[in-house]
Amino acid sequence: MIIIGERVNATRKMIKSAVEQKNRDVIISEITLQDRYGADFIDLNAGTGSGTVQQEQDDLRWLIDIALACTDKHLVLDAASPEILSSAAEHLENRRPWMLNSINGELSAAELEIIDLAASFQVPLIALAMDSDGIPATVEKRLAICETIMQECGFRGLGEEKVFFDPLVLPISTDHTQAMVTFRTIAKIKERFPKANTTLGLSNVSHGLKKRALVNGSFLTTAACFGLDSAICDPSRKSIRRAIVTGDLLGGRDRFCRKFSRSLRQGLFDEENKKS
Amino acid sequence: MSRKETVRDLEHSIIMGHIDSDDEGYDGMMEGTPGTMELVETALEEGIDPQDILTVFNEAMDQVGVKFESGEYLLPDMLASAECVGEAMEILEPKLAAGSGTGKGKFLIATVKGDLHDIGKNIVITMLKGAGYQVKDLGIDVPADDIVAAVREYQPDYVGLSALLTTTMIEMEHVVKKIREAGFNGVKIFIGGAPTSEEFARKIGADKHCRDAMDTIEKIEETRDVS
Repeated sequence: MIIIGERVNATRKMIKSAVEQKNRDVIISEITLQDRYGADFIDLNAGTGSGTVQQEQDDLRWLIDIALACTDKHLVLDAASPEILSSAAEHLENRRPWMLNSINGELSAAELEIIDLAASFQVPLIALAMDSDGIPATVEKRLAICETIMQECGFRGLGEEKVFFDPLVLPISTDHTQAMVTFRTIAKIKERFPKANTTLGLSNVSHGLKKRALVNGSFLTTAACFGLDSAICDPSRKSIRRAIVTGDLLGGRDRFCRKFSRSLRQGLFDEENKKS
Repeated sequence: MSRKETVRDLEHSIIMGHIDSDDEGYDGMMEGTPGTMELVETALEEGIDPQDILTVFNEAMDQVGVKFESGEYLLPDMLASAECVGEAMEILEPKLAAGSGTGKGKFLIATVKGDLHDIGKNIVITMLKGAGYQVKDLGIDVPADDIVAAVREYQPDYVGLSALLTTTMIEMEHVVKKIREAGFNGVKIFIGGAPTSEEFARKIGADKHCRDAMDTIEKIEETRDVS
């Protein structure tokens, strides 16, 4: 499972204020925490929601500089605007493997520009299975959106293997069938686009419920069994790391159960009441 | 690399279940370093006696057995090591001088008629190969007559019978009887499977009951020591 660490996201209050006040130490500790707990990619999102495009552009460059200095992990440049992403890409200058986050099936002019950007650098791009009508409730509609996205990417020179489809998930608190819709969408995407990757954010599934760590973890483990390749998550949480290890184990991606037994030796499955 | 280093690395690679350089090994750190397959080739190129390489295999598997018995290794860790030796034997076997007595013997194995379980049997096969035995697997749901015919054709030193159900283990008695009736009195018959026991083995005239894969190896070695 490819782990994309989600913590450096300015929609979180703590990151927003660190970005606004240029508090380097907070960002470093957020990055190194995820690095230590096995993140493969570090997502960088500077969208505080209050600044200008120019401000977000500068802030994302600032995050990139910190990441380059404090981790060897790969980076995910996360923004909605092609100007911001393109300036970040120029700034990064391929000093680290990276990918782009994200577009959806609306395929507005801005999104087409992001596809072109991914194609020109030949880097992976996260694509959400939703469009201007929002997140569809059915597998068929989500897959249809992926088809549309893939066609456009292909046309613009971005190969199947460079696309990370996020099948998305709706809260099961409002529609109890929705986790299954996500699982089946993953399986369909893998069937239709065998070379493409799938990735997924988790927390939406348990919105409005209790014991969310348990629900999110079980959701991730099951998604891995349906073929999920990657998760956008917080690896510093023990429940997440356990879910990833058991997901790879049950999903047939852990030869000789080695990752499982290593995690066992490292105490990942020991009973205790700590968060991580 | 000196011969001593090669031997030491080879033994280590087996204990770590590190079959080749693409494999991560028990500790997850070994990708990119030579594994059992590469090291066996190196050992042969350096002129190390194939017989000595075989000794390394045995010593490594002994250590793996100890780690498994102590609970340090899980079943898949042991299987990873056994796979290293099993695969490496394919390289080593042709190099071993004919008639040097390196083959420990031939082992014929089957899950008896009416029983479709093969997980336990396959674990035993992997371990046997790892321990240097030649194994002929007849598969699952094998009628007694087919087993007797195979004994006639392959002339094994050992026959292993597996069954997981109380309803199918009865068939073992039938198989043992048929093998003996056909005149194969020298072949040692081993039985195994969850419902079987020492007592049951004795009752049906089998030579040994084996609790699990490790026990199978030990029981054969016992028989060899005696004979």
